[in-house]
Amino acid sequence: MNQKKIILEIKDLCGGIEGKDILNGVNLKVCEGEIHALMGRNGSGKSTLSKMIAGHPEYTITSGEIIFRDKDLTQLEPEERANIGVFLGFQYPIEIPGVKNIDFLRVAVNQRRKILAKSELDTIEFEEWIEEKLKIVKMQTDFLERGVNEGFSGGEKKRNEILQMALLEPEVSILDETDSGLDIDALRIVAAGINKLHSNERATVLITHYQRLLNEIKPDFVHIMKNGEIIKTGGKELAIELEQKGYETFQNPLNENTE
Amino acid sequence: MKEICYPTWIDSIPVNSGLFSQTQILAREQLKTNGIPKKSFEAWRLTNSALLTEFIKHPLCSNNQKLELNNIADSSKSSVKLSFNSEGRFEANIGKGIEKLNEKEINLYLSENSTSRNNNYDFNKTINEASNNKLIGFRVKGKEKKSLEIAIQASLNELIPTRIIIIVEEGSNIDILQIIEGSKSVSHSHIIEIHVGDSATVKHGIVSIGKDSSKLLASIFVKQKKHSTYSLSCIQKGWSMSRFEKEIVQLYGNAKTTLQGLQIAKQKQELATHSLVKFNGPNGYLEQIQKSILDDESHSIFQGMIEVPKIAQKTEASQLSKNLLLSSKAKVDTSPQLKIIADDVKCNHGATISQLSNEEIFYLQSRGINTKQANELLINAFCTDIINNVPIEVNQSACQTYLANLTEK
Repeated sequence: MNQKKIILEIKDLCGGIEGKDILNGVNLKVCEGEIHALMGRNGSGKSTLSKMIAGHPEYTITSGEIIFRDKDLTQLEPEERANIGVFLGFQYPIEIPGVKNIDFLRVAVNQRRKILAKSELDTIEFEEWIEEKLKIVKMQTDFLERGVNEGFSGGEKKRNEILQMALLEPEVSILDETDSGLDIDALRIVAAGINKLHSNERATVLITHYQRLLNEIKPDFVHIMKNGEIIKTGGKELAIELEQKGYETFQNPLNENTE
Repeated sequence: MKEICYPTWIDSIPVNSGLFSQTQILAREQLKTNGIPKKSFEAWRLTNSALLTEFIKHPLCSNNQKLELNNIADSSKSSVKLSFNSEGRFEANIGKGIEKLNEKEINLYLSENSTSRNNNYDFNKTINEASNNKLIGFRVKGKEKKSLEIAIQASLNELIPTRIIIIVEEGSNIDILQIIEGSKSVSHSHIIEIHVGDSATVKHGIVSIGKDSSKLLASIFVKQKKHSTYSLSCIQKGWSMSRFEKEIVQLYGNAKTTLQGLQIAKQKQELATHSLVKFNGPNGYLEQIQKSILDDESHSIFQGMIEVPKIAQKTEASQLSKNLLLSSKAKVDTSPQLKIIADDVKCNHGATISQLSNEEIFYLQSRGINTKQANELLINAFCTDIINNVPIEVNQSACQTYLANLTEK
């Protein structure tokens, strides 16, 4: 059977925000080299799951586990999770006026490099190094001089997320609706970036509403989420079925969770 | 050091026999008649009167030496460094295009400019005039860009009055950087007057940093002639009490003014800024932003008044107060105000009070940046526009060190 190592394992995860239960027992196993797509209606719990993995302080876990490479993630601060290789690509990347993109990225990268036992990059070294990475998302260097996401278009914000993913070299990336708000060209750039960064040692979880992203990035597994649970898991064909029939078909849990 | 109480304190001020003797007598009379500003005075309503009383508990700076300017041979650069040290002397290196005013010129300036002030009791100015024996004046000439650094540093349990007059002649261009430092329980009383001539440009930065229970009362008087540009970036940090009064008058309108202020306070510090910008002619322009970053139980006061009389048609003025609260016990009193009589103007004002955003902090954390670093990045971001506008060409490295440490806790 599968000898691949598990990177991320979510066991029976329950919890929510402000006393409201959103997740009702999520189970998910992500192995090295795999791409997972997580689909579901608005409010089904996809973003909540991603925020809980990243450690958003407003979300509370009532029961269950999130294990990353044998470590209990729930015991770690958000920055510690990022530093050991967990990356969340935000659905709505926040604008932080005044914090220069390049300063922010350099601080972030150097934190990660400490964990990877790589030397800290000074300003000049960083500028040289980042130039290569910019090509992955076809960004110009002037993006770096602006405030973090300040005045960026929707597409630029998402490309900036992928640039951060490229810089931080995470082991598992949870990308929350990275395709939303993108035109076809921007979608291709972002998708190509994600494909380029994916490898046999890493894993990617794509949260998306649309099958069109999955035409660009081929998932190994597609999961459908409803009412805070994964109600069906399949291959690429499940996304196609979903696109044709809509979520309504999957209203009632027809199948048991499949591995 | 022995503490002296008001009004005994007034009589303890050494008599000045020089230029200021007459002014000093008048100022002392005013201090005696009016006393320490009370809460009933609108402009002092928010001031902690206990701190104000402490301001004048100390004896006057004991060193009464005459001012001295030290010329340094290297005058190739048109820059001047003037420092007032704890020995009570000004030291300056005079370069090309900057001349020291003589007594006659200072007298002339004072006689031309004292009458135009309003007649209200101006405590900042009066206390300075009652006690001052440290005055220096400069004239700035010629088109070549010049820079002037003025450092006033003291760590004594004394009151230190200083006053500077700068006349910038037509078409001249100068960067002025002032560093005012105080520690222990020094009380600084400082006045700077800048006369900006026709088509002249002045970029003015003030970095004022207090420690311990040091206090600062400072007044900035600026008069701008036609087509002149004056910009000020004024930073206040760490005084147990500091108060800046800024009065900028566009004598004939048709000039450009930019005012930026930043207060960084913690513990029980009280930092105040009171500004008045007056347009005495048409086509004037003002952009004003005042910010504060407040921790612990600190208190920020901002009162900003813009006066646009009937003659000041086509004035464009904006005023914004932005405050960042880092603690639930910190306090902000802000009141941006406009008094507009002219009917063809574009003026706006506003104020915001906010805290560090949890979403911004989480975003930075999710990229591996810890809460402390995230807070520092966000606090720096809040004030970076003002810090970047401080002219630092004069003394780059020293000033950069100050600025780099500004937002450190």
